[in-house]
Amino acid sequence: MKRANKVRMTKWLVLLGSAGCLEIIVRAGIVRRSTLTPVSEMFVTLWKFFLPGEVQARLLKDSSIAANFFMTFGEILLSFSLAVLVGFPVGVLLWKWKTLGRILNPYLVSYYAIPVFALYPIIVGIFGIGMLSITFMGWLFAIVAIIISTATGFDEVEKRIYPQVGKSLRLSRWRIFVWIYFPAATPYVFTGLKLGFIYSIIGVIASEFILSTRGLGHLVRFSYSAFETEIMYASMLLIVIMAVVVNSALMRIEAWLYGRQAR
Amino acid sequence: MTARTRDRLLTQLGVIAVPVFILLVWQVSSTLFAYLFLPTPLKTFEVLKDGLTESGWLLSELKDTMIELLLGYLLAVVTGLMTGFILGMNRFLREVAEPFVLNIYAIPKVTLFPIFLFMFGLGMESKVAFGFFHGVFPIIILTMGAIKDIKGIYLKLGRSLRLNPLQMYKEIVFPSTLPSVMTGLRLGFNLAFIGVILGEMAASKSGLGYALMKSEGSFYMEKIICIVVVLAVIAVAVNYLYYAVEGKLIRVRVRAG
Repeated sequence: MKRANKVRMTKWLVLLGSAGCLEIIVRAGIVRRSTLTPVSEMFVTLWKFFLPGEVQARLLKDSSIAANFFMTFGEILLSFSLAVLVGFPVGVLLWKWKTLGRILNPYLVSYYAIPVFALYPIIVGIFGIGMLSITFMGWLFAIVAIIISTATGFDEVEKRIYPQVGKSLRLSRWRIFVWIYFPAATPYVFTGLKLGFIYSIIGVIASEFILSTRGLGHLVRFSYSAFETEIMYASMLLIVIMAVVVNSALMRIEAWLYGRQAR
Repeated sequence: MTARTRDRLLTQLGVIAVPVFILLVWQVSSTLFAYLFLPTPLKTFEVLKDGLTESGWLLSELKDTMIELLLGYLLAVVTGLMTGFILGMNRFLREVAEPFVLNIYAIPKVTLFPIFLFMFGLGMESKVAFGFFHGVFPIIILTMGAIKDIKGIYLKLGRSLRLNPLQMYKEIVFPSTLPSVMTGLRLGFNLAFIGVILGEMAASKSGLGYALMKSEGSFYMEKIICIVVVLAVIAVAVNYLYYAVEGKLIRVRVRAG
């Protein structure tokens, strides 16, 4: 058997094996159903989320799962777009204006050391519970990753030969930026965008979990406190699947971008 | 004055100016926008002093958080280094484990916190476990990468000198993986810290995260800001300690090599 196939098979074996173990310990009664649902039933419940019926009625009294899902997704997209819209220009500014970059560098580097979520109660105090606070939290968590990788990406390109080529061709500064810096820095910037998007997801869903009245994060919290174990595990599964799908897709695109440049 | 020294002076001034600017904005917005219930910096400092000395409310919460953090982080360091070492040595295991490790990193782990509550209860144990769960992955990822990237020629040299496994580790593996492993340990600390605080904010009976949520419920803005300041100071201090150690080790290595 080829090596890559062997690796792939083992991966699936590990995944299915652990799911199987979880399934068995519940079905055999080693763990109570109030603490864990069999994995197969998690998928069934998740499927029922999207069908009208008893599960949906128990889910939330006043809103459908689709509403919660789109709410969360909208907040993620909004906070990410705003983080790019502000973060990218700021990153370019910090690269262009080296002194400012050096001044802010120690603060930017230690930003992710601080548990940023501790700011959430302050933000709720100012904006109230709701979409605005949650989006702001996602934005706050994502933006610095985008700033840092934009600035370092352009810095990295500057060290190479391409900008010199542009100069010797007497391109204007704007053209050098658009035709040389921008494409050459794309992979680095994309790494920042990838991190930013993941941080947006984490920021939004974690805020919803801690304090909110809507959304996927809230769904987990709500069903936990209502002892709706089945619904809780199904919503966790939904969040995990969403995060893994997005992350794998972004990692593929990233590998492709770096590979294209190496050629 | 040359342009270079002037630039360096400007940078240093700027670095000092940032916190001054933040304090200024804080002062202005707390006096101008009364509806925000934002206390002034001076008022916050008084509450902070009181919390650390006289009434000591901050101190007792801080103690619980630190115990949870220390235990969770210690567990993450031990398991992370061992797992990373094994995965770094064995290519097959690494290729199997890599997608799992990298994807768990991207999951909003806080939504899995109820599982920890089920397993460990509302007390400190669940936060220790949750801090461990957050902190262990960067340590695994960076240790694994560092072991994988040891230059083959160093290992060949070691073998041709007939070093025994212990010498091999001490003279070759340890020094060449040190920078990455240190970064992993630092990131692991940061994430373990986030994990513990998030866990306390979600469901807890003590700790700084718990105090945050309690004060949020009773509109105690001063207390909230005090806690944020304490958390930031701890995080930044520990990180600079790590940076200092990293820098020192690299300098020693450069001199020796």
